[in-house]
Amino acid sequence: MTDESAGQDIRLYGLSKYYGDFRALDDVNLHVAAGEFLTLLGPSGSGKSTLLMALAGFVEPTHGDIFVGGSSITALAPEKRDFGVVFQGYALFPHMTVAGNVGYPLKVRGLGKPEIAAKVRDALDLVQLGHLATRLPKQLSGGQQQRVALARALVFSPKMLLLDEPMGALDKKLRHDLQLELRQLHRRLGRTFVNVTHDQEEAMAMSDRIAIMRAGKIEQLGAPRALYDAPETRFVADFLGKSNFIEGKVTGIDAGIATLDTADGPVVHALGTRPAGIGDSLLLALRPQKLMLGPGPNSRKATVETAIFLGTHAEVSLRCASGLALALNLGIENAQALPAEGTTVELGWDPAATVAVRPD
Amino acid sequence: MTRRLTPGLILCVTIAWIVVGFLLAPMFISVPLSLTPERFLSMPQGELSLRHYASVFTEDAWLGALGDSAMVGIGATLIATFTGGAAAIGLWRIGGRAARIIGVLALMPMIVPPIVTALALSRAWVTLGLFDTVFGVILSHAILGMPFVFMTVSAALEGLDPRIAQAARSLGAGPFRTVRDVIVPNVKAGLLTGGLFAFVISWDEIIVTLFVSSRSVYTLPRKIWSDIRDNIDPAVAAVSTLMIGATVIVAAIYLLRDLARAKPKDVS
Repeated sequence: MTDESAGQDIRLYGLSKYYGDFRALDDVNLHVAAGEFLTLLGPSGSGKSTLLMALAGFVEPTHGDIFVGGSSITALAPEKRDFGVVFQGYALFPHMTVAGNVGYPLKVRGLGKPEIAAKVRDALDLVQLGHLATRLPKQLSGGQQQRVALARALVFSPKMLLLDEPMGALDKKLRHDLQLELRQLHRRLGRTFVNVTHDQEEAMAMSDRIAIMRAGKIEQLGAPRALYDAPETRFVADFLGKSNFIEGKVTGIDAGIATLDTADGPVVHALGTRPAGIGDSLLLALRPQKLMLGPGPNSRKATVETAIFLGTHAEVSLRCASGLALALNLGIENAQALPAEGTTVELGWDPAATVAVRPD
Repeated sequence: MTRRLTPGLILCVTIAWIVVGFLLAPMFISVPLSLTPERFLSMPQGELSLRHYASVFTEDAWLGALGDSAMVGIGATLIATFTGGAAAIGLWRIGGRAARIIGVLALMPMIVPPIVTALALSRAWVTLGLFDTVFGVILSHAILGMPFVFMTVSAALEGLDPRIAQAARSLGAGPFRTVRDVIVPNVKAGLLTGGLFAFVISWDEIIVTLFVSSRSVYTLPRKIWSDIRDNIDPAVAAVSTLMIGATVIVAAIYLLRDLARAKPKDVS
């Protein structure tokens, strides 16, 4: 048996799954470190759930191999993999009590009754549901069911925990609480967690790293902060938080600062770690909160189309002379002085605020 | 409770009761006939007797028929419940178009006219050496009862989240253990209802039975049928009455259980 306290690493080599001509997974290579919390994030149909189900053993890959802790599990039946899985909709056994559900994996493993009772009690305490052990799943709220599913998936000390949209059916407030709880649980247990979601906030809140998936491939993989600050493609820049996009051609480069010719005039852009040459076409991504009212190194005049106060910030939609739409977020300290709709304002941004991304 | 009695409603209810009477009255004719003290089938004139009931439970021919029917019925029910339930669960797991096509095939024994099944089975059983054997009759009745189990179990599975089967697998249970521990307990009602159907179908099956048996298997409906043709022993009426009684009791138990289960829902 492996050391119970440590998670195990996962390696995917060229993992593909075809349904006829449709490539649900298309040559995915991925290394999840032992003890890591990795989230697969993507829109529906991006292959994230297929990837998770391939890990769990319910989807047989067309090509490729899955290694866990150094040995291939590609041909292993789901029940032999020893992974905890939290399913979408929780998939609790409706005819068993909470204790029955949580104790089931231990019963299957042939543990004695006193041992099962003790472990079930510990697992339920871990998710703060000890007092509901004799209830049936249908007598619990959504959040409680989710915790039972979590306790059931963890009670047998699995090598890793797979979560398929675990917060999907919960309301926003509860989701936030459970995200924090799950994150703490992960830190405490030190096991490998792989989570699937389409909710970028959830992904950012819990994960060590995020793999953004699109059309069966991993589009970009990295820490939440790195992905947010340095998206590589237009898709990532737009899916993980919103972005403005400005197209231009490089006309000059001086000390890492490129000058671009765009439809609304010149733009200066700090190249950073992504080199470019004169004459290259670049697509720049610009976060709405990095756009500021008032002149800056880059300056534009634009008409205010809508300005909405949202409490924590204000959202302003603008349109430039070329017809380019820009979204601008004002922090709470500036949100009091919202520009009036229909007026023309000057706005600007720092050369380092833009990131060159690959177009789709 | 406060519904107003319009002439239309009165007419409607009257017709409904006439139809019910029309459907049920002939069935109950066997009750008075079975109580006649005479040795031939007749309406009792004043005096009532239970002698024909006594003969049903003492004469070897009747007891043998009862025994055969019970054996065939139980055997057919077990096989139909197992195969029909397994088919329904398997197709539920597979899903998709293939499952739907096979699902229609599984209902065929119910759709094909019994006489066609009877002819086909009698030919097949002769070839297979199952003609006029208890096992042959059991198998024939199981084929007829299987679609009912398939239907009721499929209906019970409809509301079940397929992911609970995956959940059981992920928790360490193999495919068979998953069916036993997680799926079967959730379709128990469907299996019981289907099994009951299968038993009732076997209990009063006559057409196929006539074609696949001759002398060594003699079920109750066969005995009744041949008795009515050969002589008019009132024991037939006694048997019919007993069968009606059994049906009414089973139906009542079912109805009461359903009502008891439906009650808490009404309150909330």
